[in-house]
Amino acid sequence: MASGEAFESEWLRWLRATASVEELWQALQADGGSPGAACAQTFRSWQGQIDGTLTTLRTAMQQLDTPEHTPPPPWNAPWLDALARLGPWQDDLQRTRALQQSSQAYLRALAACSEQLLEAVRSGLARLEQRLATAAEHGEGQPGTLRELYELWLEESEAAYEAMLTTETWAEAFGRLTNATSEVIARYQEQADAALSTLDLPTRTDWIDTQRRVARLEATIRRSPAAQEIAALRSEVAELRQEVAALRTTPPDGPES
Amino acid sequence: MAATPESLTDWQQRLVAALDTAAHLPVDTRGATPFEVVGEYGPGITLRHYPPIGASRKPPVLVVYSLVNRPFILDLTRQRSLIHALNQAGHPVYLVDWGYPRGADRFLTLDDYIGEFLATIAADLGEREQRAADVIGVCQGGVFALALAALFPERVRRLVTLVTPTDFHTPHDTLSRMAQHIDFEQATAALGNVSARWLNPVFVALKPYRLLSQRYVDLPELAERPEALHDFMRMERWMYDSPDQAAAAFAQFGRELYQRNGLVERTFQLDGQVVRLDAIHHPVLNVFAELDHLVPPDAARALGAHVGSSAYREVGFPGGHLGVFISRRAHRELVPAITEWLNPD
Repeated sequence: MASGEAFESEWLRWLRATASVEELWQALQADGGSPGAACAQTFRSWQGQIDGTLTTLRTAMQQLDTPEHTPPPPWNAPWLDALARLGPWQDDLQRTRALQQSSQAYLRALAACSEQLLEAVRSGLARLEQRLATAAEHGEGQPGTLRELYELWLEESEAAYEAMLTTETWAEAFGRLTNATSEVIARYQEQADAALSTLDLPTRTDWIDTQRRVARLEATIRRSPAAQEIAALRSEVAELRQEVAALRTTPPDGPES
Repeated sequence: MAATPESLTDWQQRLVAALDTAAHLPVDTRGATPFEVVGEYGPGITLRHYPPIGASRKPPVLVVYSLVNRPFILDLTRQRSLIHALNQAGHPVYLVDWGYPRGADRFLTLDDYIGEFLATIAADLGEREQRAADVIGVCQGGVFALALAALFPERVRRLVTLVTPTDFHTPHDTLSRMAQHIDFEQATAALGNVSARWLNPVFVALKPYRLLSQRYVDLPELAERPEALHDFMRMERWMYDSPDQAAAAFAQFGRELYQRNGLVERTFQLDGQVVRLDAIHHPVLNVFAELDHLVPPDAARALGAHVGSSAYREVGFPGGHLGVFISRRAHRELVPAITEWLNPD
């Protein structure tokens, strides 16, 4: 690992996240190998952390609904829309309004997805706690190694996650987030284009237009009879090369034959 | 990973050893089998030729891979190479390398990819080899192969589809369910070519615990198995060596297949022609993976109910999506079954 970047890679973050399984392992050991008070405390601590994050997230979502963050009330909106269409800066005003609205929609969509993901993590931990408790009740074996405990955590967390993944609620939330992301990117692109255009610098729109022309030219050349002739010649040369190569590898006829 | 601090240290030591070794392992993304490029058919789109081994000369095989990843998964190592196995069975193998789309390729549609590039490749190959090719389509490439066989039947001899979705609206298709609410036109208008930076997380998010946690927790186990570690690194590179998706083709695939289920509903058109599965009368071998989380078995098996062929056969492989290409079992059982099916006489 030569660079600092390697120490912050995604997989190391996941490894650190799974390190909390070790905390549960220590608790299980403290409880004598079967879930007791220490395990219960660990689970409560984890649930508390998730609840804390969920509360912060929901508070942030509520803040999005406060007057300074929300779009204007319906009775006010037509007036503001009309104002944004007046005067020499109307294009800028309309773009800014569209960007604000799309940013709000993006934050809401992101929060809705994050909430479902956190609920899935919470559900995975509840499943793990239940599984350990049920095994203890029925006198079944408890995980004998940290690795075994990790496998249980993985199975239960994954089951909870996949249950979330298959719901229509998640599909809708994922779709809303994807659409809100592309919407907010598009609004930023409009702002950037306006600024670049003011400075007489090439805009994204100009660039796409150039690409379109390049693509059309390439297709025209590709489909032209001359290009097809060249391709046919190339293919013939390749075949001839193959034949020559085959002839070279064939042993020459001896004088006796 | 075990119970005691000593064994934890041991796990960490093995992790360090594995990382030390992994840092120096080369990964050749061209694959294990030598090839020559025999044609260029579009922007960055080339046709590779892998000559057969030995004197026996079997029909040519055209392999059509997906646009989403790179095809070197089919040729990861000599021991785990579908291409090498086909060469060994006497087939000259041709593989379409779709390349890495660049900015101006955002306008390429499926009509271009299938109706122009793939159709021309199949025609040229037929001329070059003096007979139509057997076509093996993989995942999305299987959809391309089906469209080719439906619209240009004379350019295909026999058809193999590997983990290929046909019905995009089956009940357990998580990816499809997630695709239903996406505005693909809006997304590609904003993003242009869809970068792997956007797409890879979506695929990983279908199995995050396995792909981002377990996979790496298991890494130290490979510290003393250099070949397995090398395979791991090859897979690691393959998983994230993902070309951008040409914007227009990506939106078309999402809308026409995932959302409108165009193959089953007969609404999928290329250059104004409907792609009809019942127009496919070639012998078809449909291979699906029983534990596939990307292309559920039902999505792949639906082909049997819609294809026109009376020589249709399907094989279920007991594994996941990638197991079909890389697992030892696949190379022991499935690959020989495919080569046998390609050569019935």
